[in-house]
Amino acid sequence: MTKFGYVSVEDYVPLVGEFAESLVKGKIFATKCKACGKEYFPPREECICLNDEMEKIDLDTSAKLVSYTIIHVPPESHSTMAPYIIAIGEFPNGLKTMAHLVGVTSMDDLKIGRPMKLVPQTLENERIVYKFVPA
Amino acid sequence: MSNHDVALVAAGQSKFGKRTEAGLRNLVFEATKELFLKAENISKDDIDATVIGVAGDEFNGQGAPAAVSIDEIGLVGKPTIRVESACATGTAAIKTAYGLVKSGLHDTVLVIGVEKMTAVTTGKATELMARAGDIRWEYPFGCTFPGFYALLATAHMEKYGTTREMLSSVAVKNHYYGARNPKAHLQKEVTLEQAMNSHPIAHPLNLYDCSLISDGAAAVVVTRADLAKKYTDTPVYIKGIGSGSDTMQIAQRETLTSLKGAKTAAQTAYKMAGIGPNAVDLAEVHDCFTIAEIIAYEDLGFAEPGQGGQLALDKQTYIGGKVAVNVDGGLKSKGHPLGATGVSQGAEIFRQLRGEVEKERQVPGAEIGLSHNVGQSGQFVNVIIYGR
Repeated sequence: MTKFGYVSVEDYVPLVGEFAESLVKGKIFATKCKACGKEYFPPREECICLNDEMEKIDLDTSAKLVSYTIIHVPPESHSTMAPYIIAIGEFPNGLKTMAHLVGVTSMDDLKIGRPMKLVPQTLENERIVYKFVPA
Repeated sequence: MSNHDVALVAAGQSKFGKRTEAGLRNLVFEATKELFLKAENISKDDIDATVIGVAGDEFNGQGAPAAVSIDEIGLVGKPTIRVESACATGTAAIKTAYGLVKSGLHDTVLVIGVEKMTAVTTGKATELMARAGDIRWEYPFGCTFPGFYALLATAHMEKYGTTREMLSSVAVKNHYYGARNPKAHLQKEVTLEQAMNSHPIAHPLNLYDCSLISDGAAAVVVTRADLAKKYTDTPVYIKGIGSGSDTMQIAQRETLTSLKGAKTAAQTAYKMAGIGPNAVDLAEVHDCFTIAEIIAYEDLGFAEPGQGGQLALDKQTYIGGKVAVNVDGGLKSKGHPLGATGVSQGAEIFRQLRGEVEKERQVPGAEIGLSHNVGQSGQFVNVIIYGR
């Protein structure tokens, strides 16, 4: 089964498994609480209103850059990847998430507010992740 | 009961640093021994219970660190409890002791904060601290601890025009005072040029923007105010405590230019103490990164939002400025043994308010000291206000 992330430490839970399988098919889903309507991305199985009946909804993956960093000294688990850009992006529905930003070539490409898109990226070892790319 | 009915009556601290010769238990011993050596009229027999603050077991491998700690200092048989709130563990331990004393459950409590971090490699320590981010949605991207604060720094620089020089000014100040603190990990001054040009860790933060990975312990005795004068002529009272929290994932914060939990904590603590930021003579703030100190100035009301960098640049947080901040070197130069940090802030304020620190870093006539201790990137915040 495909796993999510460049690395992971958590026992593999069903939601993340489904999310990874969905990414393989090119689809990125968020979740929405059937009781209060609150939306979550990354997806959650449970709502803060303490309801656990959630539905999957499509995420509008266009985003704007909210903040970023370039990791030069990585944790042990990412030791071969540095330097890499970690960005926070905000989607049209107001939800925000963290992901690598790939495909920018100069600091001029890193303007706050710049348009991006969240896309799946297949990795080696049956892993998959989402990343931001310039839009 | 009034607000000011719990007091600190003794304090001690180990040397902070890469203490290859000392294990967790030895650090506990060193801080506790100093506490009782310096104490005026208090002995181990006066201690009713202990609260032990340790952030992570993984750094040194010892499970149940409270048990090994009280065994080391001969307090076996008396109640103990271990407290954890990431990097805010130390103040969480003091807050727990405050509650135990104020409730009447115990009269006199010994609080020890300790962390033995350098038994693992820097890469491993970076890895363990990265796991304090959400292991499901943040850790998989390799966001380091400096990375989280770098995200705040980028946002602060973008919104307010905070500069590289402002960040480095914080490092220069904290090293200046750390060089004058014999307990500090890195007792050396740095120039603005050195601080600005050191190698990048997580852009825009470089080496001199980051606190140290240290070993160390600190201890204080917390007791009832009406017993305090029995133990010392000059107790230091806990006048206010406030706490706050924030979202697990940093991306989901309402703002990246302030710590919401710190603002809540500060407002609560000021209200309980019946004072405002202008009354603070010295502050121990959680400068795990230089940007964190700048944001702390703003969250604590020492500067308007966006003006924290200018406050640093204008040297207004040196002794003699608007408010003396981290004149023991802060996490940056004194070191940051996670569980010890908040207790060390309390121990430093205890000594400052009694006029007992090294002359060149003593804040003259200090009456009010504030401790600001942040866990992770704001998920835990405690602010404690101490007064004579």
